[in-house]
Amino acid sequence: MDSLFDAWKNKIPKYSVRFSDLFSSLAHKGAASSQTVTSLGKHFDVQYELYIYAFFLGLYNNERLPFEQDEKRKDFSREIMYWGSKSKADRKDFTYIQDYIFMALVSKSDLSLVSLDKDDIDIKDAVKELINVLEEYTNGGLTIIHEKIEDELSPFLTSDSFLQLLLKST
Amino acid sequence: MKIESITLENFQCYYGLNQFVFENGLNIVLGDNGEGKTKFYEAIFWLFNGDKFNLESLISKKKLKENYNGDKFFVSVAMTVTVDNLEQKLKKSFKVQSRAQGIKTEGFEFVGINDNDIGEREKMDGDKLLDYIFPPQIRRYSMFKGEAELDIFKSGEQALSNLVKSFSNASHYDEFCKYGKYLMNEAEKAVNKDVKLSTKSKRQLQLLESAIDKKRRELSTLDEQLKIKDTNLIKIKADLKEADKYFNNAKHLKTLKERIKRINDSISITQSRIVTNYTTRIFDDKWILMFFEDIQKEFNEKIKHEDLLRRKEEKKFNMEQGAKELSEKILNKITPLPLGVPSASHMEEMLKEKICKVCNRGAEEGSEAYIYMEKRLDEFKESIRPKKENQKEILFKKNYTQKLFSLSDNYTKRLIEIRKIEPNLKDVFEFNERKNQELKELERSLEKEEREIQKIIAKSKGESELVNIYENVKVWSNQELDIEKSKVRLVGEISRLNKDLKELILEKEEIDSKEAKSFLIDTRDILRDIETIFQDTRELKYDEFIDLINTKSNEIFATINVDDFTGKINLIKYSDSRGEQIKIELLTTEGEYENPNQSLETTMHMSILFAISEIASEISSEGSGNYPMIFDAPTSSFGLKKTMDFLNLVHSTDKQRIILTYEFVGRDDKDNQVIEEEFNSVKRSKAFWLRRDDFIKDDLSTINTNVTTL
Repeated sequence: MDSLFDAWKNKIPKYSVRFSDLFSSLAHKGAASSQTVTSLGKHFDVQYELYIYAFFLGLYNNERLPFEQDEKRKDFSREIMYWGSKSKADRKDFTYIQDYIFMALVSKSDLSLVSLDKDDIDIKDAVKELINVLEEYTNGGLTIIHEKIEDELSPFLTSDSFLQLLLKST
Repeated sequence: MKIESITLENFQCYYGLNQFVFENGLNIVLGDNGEGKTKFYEAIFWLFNGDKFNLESLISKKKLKENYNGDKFFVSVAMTVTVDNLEQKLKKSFKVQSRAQGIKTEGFEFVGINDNDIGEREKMDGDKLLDYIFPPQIRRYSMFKGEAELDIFKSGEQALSNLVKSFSNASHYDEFCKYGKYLMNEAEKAVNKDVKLSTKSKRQLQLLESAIDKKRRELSTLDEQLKIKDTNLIKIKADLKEADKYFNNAKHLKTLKERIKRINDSISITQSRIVTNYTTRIFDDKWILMFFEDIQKEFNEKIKHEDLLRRKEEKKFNMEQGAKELSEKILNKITPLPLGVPSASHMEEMLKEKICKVCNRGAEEGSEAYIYMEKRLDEFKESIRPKKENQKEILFKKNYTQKLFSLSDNYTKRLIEIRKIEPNLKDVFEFNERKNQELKELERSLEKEEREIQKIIAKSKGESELVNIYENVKVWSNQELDIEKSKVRLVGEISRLNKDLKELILEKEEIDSKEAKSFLIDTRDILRDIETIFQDTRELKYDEFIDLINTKSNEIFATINVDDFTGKINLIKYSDSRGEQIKIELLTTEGEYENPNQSLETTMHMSILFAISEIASEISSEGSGNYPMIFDAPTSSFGLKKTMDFLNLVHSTDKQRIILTYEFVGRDDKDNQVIEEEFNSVKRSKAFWLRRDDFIKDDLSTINTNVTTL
């Protein structure tokens, strides 16, 4: 029997197609060396990094934004279990992030762990609930980034732009 | 000759018609770099020397764009001059048509309009009129671009003979010398022929002639070698003199370049240490968790709550299960005997005999007592059989959430890592701030050193030339030494050969005197004397001419010398493999002034040029003297103050001079061009200010120079 964590990290969360441009402009699709990433205007080595960043941005700013009804969504074909694996010599492994995301989702969901172990709730429904929370906070974070781009002229030109945005979280 | 006006029509950056009306005396054309000064100079140069080739490059791009539809227009440069109070006009022009397939230029012409002295105006060939009013040998010494061109003797090639041909009657003596030499040779031949008639001396004479020829050939070869050595030595000495003058600058430049390299290295190191990969460190250094502590606490609370709930429910469930079992076991509030009492064997015996031996009553098969005994026996047997776990009823059928409890424990212990993020970030920011400050300091130092280099270059030579000087000065010194040594050897050899030759000639002369007829000997001696007189006279005339330039140059030098230098200009004639040359030196009471600064050198060259111009005026046909001179940026090494002094002194010479300079154009607070106040103190007959309209970078069709008369 898988644990809830194992079942959850087998999933690939989605994001709204409204933000496809953000992913293509800010994140590299394949593996790029870190030195060239920023110079190409792409701050994130891989797409799931932007996804993780947007989740935490949404989380810290308490921006949980459900998708619109019938809103088209897409993913980047990378299961959560691979997020943060060391891919290049100049990067560190940060798979720890999976645990923290999971803890955050459990905290922010209404999921009853007792009911789950009592088998009163189906594990698939529990995982679905957690993924839903993940997607909604990420949706909130991506909206913050998108609005910043719309409001300001080239807000992410400097290398510390994304760190500064995160630091401003309230 | 006086230039009255110059008109530029659609010539390069001069869109439309632009007229400069000049006065006698000093005319100054001001303009910052790139505003059109040099184009103005080039326009005059084109008027005097331009041909029908490469005309497209001369067309105003603005005019071209405006007439893109195919309309024709003219490009021209025209000059009006007065000679002997008569007006003369020169105009060089061509027609332009811009079409889709390209630019077409046609109708190139150079026209002169000559007002003759009976009041008629005639059209003539421009070149002819130009040569008439402004002879080429004078034009040659009338237009100069930059400071380097002012030294007319530097190139060496035929400089003196050109000057003499143009401005001195000394050149007439060249012909006399040639003819004198011819006559003397003929007389020598006649003497030889006569001596050879004597069979006694014929053989001896032939041997002597052959020996003399041989010695002369050897001497000629050695002389040639010596001249080459001299030429090389002069060049090397000049290089060394130049090197000596600039060596300190070259050395300083080298030091500065080394410093710049060190600063650049430090900049690279500092830049590489400045943290720029902020976004990757958000993940790699866990900065993403900077605000996670509250979430962690929330999670721990939830887990604690769920744990409590879990235990409560478990207790309740266990209690419920225990009670259920007990209720089944308690019957009529009587506590039953323990299982196994009576024993299993007794029970089986009683069932077999169908008698309850506890209450001593019969217990028929199927009776209540019989069934009770059977049940008790089964319960006992069941109780001694091991029980399967899954048969027991449990509350938590799944274990999905076990990891959550361990997560809560583990990460609570690791909260310290999250708490370290803020100070870690602070450290990074402070480190970067420090490094950025260092970088700014380094960049300031770099700018300072680069400014210093620019200063050195401005007051001395180009960077590559200074590097060349620094690297080659030792090589040149060694070469100088080698040449000096080989010269000593050559001079010794020449002296020995000359001595031998002299003896041979004496020997031959003795035979000549004995064997040749006396009138032939006398004639030869007279012609020899005449040839010597011609040579000496020529030398004298050349020296007189050089003295004249010397005197006039020094008169002018004393007037326009902005550095209060008390020495004198000295022009010296010498010969090398290229022919007769002139060397200029500055003399002080203590000898040659080795290292004059650039402005002093420029003043010296200008004085010589002004002197030549005066000499040209004096020898030119009546009235047409006083030719104008045009200089583009002749005082770049002077600086503002010296330029002011220089211009005031030039003004006092009262000759028509057109000087183009970038001095006196400054910028106000809003970065607009302004004429600096100092220009008010510059005495001049006329001044112009060249300024370009605002233009779009990289779009030449927006460039247009405006001419303002000040």
